[in-house]
Amino acid sequence: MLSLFGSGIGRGIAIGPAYVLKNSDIEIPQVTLAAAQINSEVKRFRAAINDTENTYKVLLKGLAKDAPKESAAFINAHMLMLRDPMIMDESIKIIRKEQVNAEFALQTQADTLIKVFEQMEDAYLRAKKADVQHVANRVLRRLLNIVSHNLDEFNDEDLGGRIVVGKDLSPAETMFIKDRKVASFVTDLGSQISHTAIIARSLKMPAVVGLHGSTRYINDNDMLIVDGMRGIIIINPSSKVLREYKSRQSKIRARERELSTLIKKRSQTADAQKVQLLGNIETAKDVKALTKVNAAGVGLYRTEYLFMNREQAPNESEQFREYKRIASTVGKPVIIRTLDIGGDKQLDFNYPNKQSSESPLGLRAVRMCLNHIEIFKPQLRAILRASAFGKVSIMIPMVSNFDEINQILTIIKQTKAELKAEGIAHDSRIRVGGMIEVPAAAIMADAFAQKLDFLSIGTNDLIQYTLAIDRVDDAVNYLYDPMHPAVLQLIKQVIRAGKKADIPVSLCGEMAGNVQYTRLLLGLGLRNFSMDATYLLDVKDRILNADTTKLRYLVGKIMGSDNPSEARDLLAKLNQI
Amino acid sequence: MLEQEIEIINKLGLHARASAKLVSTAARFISRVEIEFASQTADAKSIMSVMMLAASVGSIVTIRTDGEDEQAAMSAVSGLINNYFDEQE
Repeated sequence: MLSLFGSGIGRGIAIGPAYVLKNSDIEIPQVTLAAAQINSEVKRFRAAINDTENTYKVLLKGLAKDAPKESAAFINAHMLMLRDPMIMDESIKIIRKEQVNAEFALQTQADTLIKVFEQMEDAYLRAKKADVQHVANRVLRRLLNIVSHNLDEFNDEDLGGRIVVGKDLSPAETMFIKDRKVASFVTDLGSQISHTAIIARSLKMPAVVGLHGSTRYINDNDMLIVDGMRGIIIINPSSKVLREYKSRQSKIRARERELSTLIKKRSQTADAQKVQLLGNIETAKDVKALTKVNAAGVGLYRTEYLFMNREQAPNESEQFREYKRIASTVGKPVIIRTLDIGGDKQLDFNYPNKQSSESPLGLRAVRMCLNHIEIFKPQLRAILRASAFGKVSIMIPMVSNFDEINQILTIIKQTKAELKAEGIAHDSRIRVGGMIEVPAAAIMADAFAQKLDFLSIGTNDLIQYTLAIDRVDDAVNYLYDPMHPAVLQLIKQVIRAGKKADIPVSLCGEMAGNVQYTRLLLGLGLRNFSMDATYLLDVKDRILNADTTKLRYLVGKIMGSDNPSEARDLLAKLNQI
Repeated sequence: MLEQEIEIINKLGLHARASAKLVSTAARFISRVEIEFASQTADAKSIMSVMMLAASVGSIVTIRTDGEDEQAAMSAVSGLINNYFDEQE
């Protein structure tokens, strides 16, 4: 039994066998064959092709009903490539002519094909060399009996109930975790605020990240306990520890049942202040969980997931269908955030200045959209068209100056005029809000509130920019602090600006779903919280028991305090009232 | 043998998915189906060979069908190309 410590996510506990990710390199042996061996080598090669084709068929059958159409199309294209005379017949010719082993022959032929693709002018077709290698690798792995553990749509292993162990997970990989019923994951990198962590929370999945290389102690199929609340993982636990954790697991489930009694209750404080509890979603799949906890609507729909993991942006009609579906299934107000690319959320396809979006200070979020109107415009049209089918608002991420807001409002106005001219239904009075994530925007909140219909505080980025900490940089993670007085002052300022201009202000960062901050935020005047459905009932529990008249004194003291540790002590007191 | 010139009109040209559709369509016929572009000839029943033509949007390709069902093969292949490979754009 061995325990490792990292940053925990989620309040749950997961128990299951480890699945250690490894992208094994394929080393290709070169063997010269005797003439008598040639026929059996060709046979072996054909058998590997047949096996690989069967795997593809199994994959195709196993695709989820709501898997994007592209997945099936790509598997089909790969199957055709596998059987293509230029891959199969040519490789066999090489085996016979050069008297070499199948692996070497196949890679030789793949290299020839790849070279042709590399010389193509069209960037899209040039990228197709990856498909050739992908297909070849599948056959090579068969031939060499190499097991590769990865998380992609072509993975054919059963991951249900297993705990994924890896160095780090890309947001794309976490999407596959969702579809494959993985129980939990643990990683070397990442922090509680990295995107991977946020997704883990939204999956209601306990996880531990930031294990700093210690995952090398974990082997495939080791029994693991992942304690998301304490940030501990236990490898091959003793039966006593296992029993203890199983009983804790059932206690957590009991608490969940207790919370479910709050679903129907009116969302207001003990002194009858109405509070709106909204949900954050990434795809239509998340709507169900929101409906279950009776959220007042969607406060943040992250549309970037519609754009990720694919070779081109979704066109207007695809986006329209998706937004319309979400607006009509939610049946309550939905705030759609326009494409928010940046940091660890990246697109697969290329566009000019793509690299800049990796920097927290680069061409990301609304900046990227305004520079790539060909991506932005279809999205705006799709959202506007969906607004005819539900109460939809537009939210712009990362606004930082007045001109930007003017530009966006002008584009939206133009788009509406175009739709009107084309006779396409839309809500001509659609509300447009901005996300306050940059200190400049928080400081200018009074002015921004004059232009916009609502503000939403994105605390994850606001903290990153205020404290100058790159969220995805593990090394400075310890400086990330929602209780920093500068952060609290900015939040307060934005809430006040909204009140003054008489427009709604919501908070949709991780702080909204953390019960530690519920009372503090209530005390600062926040009345709209948007969070992942997982936390909604916990936060509601806090709200039902809070009396805002009694919060004032301690909240005032917290705001007057100039050091974070003092502020934290006061926060603990506030939470005990 | 039949021969016809035709323009590739879908936005991405003969990319992987479009090529896959073309190959699956051509494979339904007994006739030999060829596509010629920029003095290269591709077997329309081989996805690799079709992709390697690198025919992008606006390319004029020549389709040739030869065999007992050449008429049906020609109309199926040209129909697919003219219909943007049944994609939206």
